Amino acid sequence: MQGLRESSSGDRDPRIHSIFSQLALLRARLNRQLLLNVTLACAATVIGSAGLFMLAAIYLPVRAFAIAALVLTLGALGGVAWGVVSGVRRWTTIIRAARLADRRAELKGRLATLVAMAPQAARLPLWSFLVEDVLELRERFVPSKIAPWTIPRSLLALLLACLLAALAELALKHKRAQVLADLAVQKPPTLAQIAPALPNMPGNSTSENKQFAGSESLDQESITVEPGEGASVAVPENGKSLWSRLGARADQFAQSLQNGLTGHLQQHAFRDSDELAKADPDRQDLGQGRDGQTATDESSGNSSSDTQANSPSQEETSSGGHQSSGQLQASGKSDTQQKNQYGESAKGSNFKSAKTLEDEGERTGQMSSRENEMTYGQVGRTQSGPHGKSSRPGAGASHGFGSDPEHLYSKTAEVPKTASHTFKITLQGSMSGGPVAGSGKPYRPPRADIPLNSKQAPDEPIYRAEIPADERELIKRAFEP
Amino acid sequence: MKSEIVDTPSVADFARIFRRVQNEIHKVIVGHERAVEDLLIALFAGGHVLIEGVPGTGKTMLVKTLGQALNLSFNRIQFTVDLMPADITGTRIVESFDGGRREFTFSPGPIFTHILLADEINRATPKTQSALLEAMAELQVTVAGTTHRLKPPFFVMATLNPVEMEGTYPLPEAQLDRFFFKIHLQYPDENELATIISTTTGASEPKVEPVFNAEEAPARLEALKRLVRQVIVSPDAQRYAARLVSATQPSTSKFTRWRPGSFRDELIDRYVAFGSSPRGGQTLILGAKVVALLDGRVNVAHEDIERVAFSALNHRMMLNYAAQADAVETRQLIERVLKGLASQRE
Repeated sequence: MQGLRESSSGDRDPRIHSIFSQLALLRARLNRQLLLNVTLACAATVIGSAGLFMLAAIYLPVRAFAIAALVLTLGALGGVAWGVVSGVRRWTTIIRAARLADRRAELKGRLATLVAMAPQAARLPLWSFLVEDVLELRERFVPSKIAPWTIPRSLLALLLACLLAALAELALKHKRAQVLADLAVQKPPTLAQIAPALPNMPGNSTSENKQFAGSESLDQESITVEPGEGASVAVPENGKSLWSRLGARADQFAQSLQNGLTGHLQQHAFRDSDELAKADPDRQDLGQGRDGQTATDESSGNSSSDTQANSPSQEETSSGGHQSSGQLQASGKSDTQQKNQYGESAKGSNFKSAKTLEDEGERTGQMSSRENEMTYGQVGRTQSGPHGKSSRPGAGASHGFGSDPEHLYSKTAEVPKTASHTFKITLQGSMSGGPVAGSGKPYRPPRADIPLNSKQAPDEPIYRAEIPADERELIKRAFEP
Repeated sequence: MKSEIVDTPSVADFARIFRRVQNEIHKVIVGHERAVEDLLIALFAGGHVLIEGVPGTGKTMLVKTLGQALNLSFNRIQFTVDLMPADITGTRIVESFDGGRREFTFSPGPIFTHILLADEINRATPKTQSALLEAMAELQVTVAGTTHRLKPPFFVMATLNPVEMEGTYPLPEAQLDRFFFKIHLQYPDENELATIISTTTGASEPKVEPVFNAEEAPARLEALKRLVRQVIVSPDAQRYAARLVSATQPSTSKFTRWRPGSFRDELIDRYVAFGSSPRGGQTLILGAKVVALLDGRVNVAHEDIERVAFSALNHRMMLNYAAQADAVETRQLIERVLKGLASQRE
């Protein structure tokens, strides 16, 4: 109506007023359609990106997922920003509405000319003719004809995005089922196969200690045992460039994010809190002081697994539950590290050796969460101080006797069919303490970090299994000072 | 209702008269519909026309028929190499009066007419050609320090013969620019040719009925031309015409003030030495006004501008040697620019 207000003659001319009123209606209709389109397009962008994000989390390795996540996040943000900017730019003014009506009703510029020239109407000899002409064609530019309500293309985009998200959800379910099936038939390596890769303890072979202590560049080392593979020694990480370290950080973050999105592959098998209790028979016998925490774990820790990675306080609340499920994550680690439940490297560590022990189920024996805790507590104790006195939640201290070596060999748990039969333990060692003979370098005992393997749910317990007698010494060597 | 609102003649009158003149011309001229319409557009817009065509395509006949249809005075000048400016404009001659008194008096040349056919204008020397410039632009001629006004309407139709170019003097750009349209006459097709043969070789010749009577014809035509000027042009249409003219100018030329964001075409830069002058923009709008009136509108639309774009711009764009080597024609470039601008507009 701007043109009408500016028009000296238009204010008095009801013909012009009626034309502008019709244009105003058209304009409002166009803007409503635009708003709907932009909203749908933005929603489609966000949902589509989320679906792709989820698919990337399921199928891509960590580095590729990190890149994909970055691209998708930027793409989604850019898409939404573009949608908003596009909406603002396409916001229909009265002259734009007139031009659109001209084009769609084939008015050959009559309306746009009328709107544009309304302020100068008094100087135009043929103005009245133009007004009459437009009035005669008024039926051709009614809003419903010019801008009929049709299914917007952005709605189709939204539907496609929703379909993609649904596919992602299906893929996630399928992946969970696949993981469970794989785990059921997997033959993990025996403990004896893994033994050579176990970390060196101070009381053991000094030559191996020398190996760690004698090399300045060997500040960090990662030994990883994957199911079906032997031990492998990763390259030292120290001395890498800033970019490498940033890349490693990004990988950690991406892995944390990826696990947060897909880490509940087996969780559905452990929704029942009774199963958590069954996983660790001793847990049922614990005193009230510990049970209070356990009860919290069982009632809320499992259900909060989706959000615990992002909520330190929640994580603290559910830390006992994590520990009872064999997720020993708290000792000597920052909150960030705690969030990275499956992270294989610990922030700030100078030396890392990682081991993955694949449980063979009944044959190899399953370790209880408390055993893990105990082990962790022991190793953690060597780093952080007195036995069972970690300053952070977990670290075996919450169970009171997590560091009790005798507890390694308690009675076995009843394993549900759907339970995970594998888990991964990462041991981290850093150089500290007095000099090792012959090397002149201080020796620091290994610091243990025992994350779950990537296929294990955060709240999944590790069932206590019977440890064969001939492997007990090996286990002790591995988990006791 | 409308006829009460607008000045006389009305918009409807304009279209009716235009179509009637057109029909009268087509009684004699077979085919060339587009050329005839362009010719009339230029006439009602107040411009002059340059017609290019091979011999025998009806150039002279077209002009003669137009004069008859409008009932306006008509003169023809056959331009030759020895034609002098005074042969066009007129000259002072010594006239004897009673009593033996003799004095110089001005003898008007053939330019003093309503419709002037300058046949094969490129055969005259540039000096003679330029004699037309003042008359075409300002409707006046100056002879021996005295300016003589031409009676409106004054309409020059010059013809060019694209063959037999030896011994000719191509029109300078300044003179070309003064022509409103350049119209190309092509050979008629077989059907048209058969019609031409049958109508011109029979016992009776087609007779052209004048649309106006002789006394009021100039005034009626001038009134129609005034109506054309009153057609409303929105700023949007003006900008479109300006962009179209700018788009014909190569951005690489030192004479071009090209701005970032303006339309730029690679072929224009490659093949055009000089683009259209501002007169091209004026021509576009005036021609579009006539087209709008013919459509019963009093506003100029983009389509109207596009309708007259080729005739208005083709003689104002100077192609370079690269264009000649690559056999690139002005029509291709103008169509390309129009497409580019249309896509930008959408």
